[in-house]
Amino acid sequence: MEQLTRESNHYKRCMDLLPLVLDRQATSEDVQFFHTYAINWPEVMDCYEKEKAFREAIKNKLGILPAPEDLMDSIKQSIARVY
Amino acid sequence: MSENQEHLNTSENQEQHQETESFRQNYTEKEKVEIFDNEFLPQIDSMYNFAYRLTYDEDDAKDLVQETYLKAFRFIDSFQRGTNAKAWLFRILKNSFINDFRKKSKEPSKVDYQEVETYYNSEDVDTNITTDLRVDAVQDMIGDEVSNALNSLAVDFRTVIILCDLEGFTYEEMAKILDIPIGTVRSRLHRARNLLKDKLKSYADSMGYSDKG
Repeated sequence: MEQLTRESNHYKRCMDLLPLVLDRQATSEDVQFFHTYAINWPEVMDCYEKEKAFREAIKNKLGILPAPEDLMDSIKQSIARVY
Repeated sequence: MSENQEHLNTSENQEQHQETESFRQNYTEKEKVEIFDNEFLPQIDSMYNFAYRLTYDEDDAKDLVQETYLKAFRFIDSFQRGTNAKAWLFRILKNSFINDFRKKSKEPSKVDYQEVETYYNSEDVDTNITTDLRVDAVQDMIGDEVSNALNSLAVDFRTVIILCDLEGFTYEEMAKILDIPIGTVRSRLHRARNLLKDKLKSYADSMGYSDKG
């Protein structure tokens, strides 16, 4: 049975998976592994929650700026003129 | 033009030519218009957003997007229908910005080379060490403050945050857009986020956000 210490392979794997899970790059098996084992180490979960909140805050604060309304027409006109 | 610059441009052209030739499709005029209207134009908001975050000028962003779409139409035969149009367009936009646009832009994007050098040359990168920044301090800030902090990062770092956190590209897509290995995408993202946290922490401290609650 895997010992749940910071020297264990599970701990190392959870730390390796942390950014992949947050950036939606982990496989479903890896995500499941992370959420099964990461709860054993409060500092891993704390880091996960902080990083997740940071990414969400950045996305919400910056948002997506819509293109100016005339830009699409301007592009279409340029294409028609050049090609 | 220097010999080195000429060599670089020649290599770039050859690379673009090879890339174009290997996927050449020979679409009809009708198909070209269909692809352009149905696969390229729906990306215009994301394209403008990316261009604006690179140039920080509305007119420059519009010019950059327009130039990108003209190039996309010109090289449309090198696009494989049904594949990732957004990533393909982002790659063209990024290359246009780096190769052409920054040279003629009214306000060239400032790159803090010392900042880039310090982070790129750092051999001891511990991916698990993160800058301590209270998230509620970021939540207290307004969009302009976060936007200014992002804008103060060197363009390489700014770009990975935009592509990953705002546009939701995968590491693999980012690697293709930026022409760098996936490992570099990951390390650059980690460094970029830490740099952004540093900037936001300094700002939060100066504004007293970090003393709250």
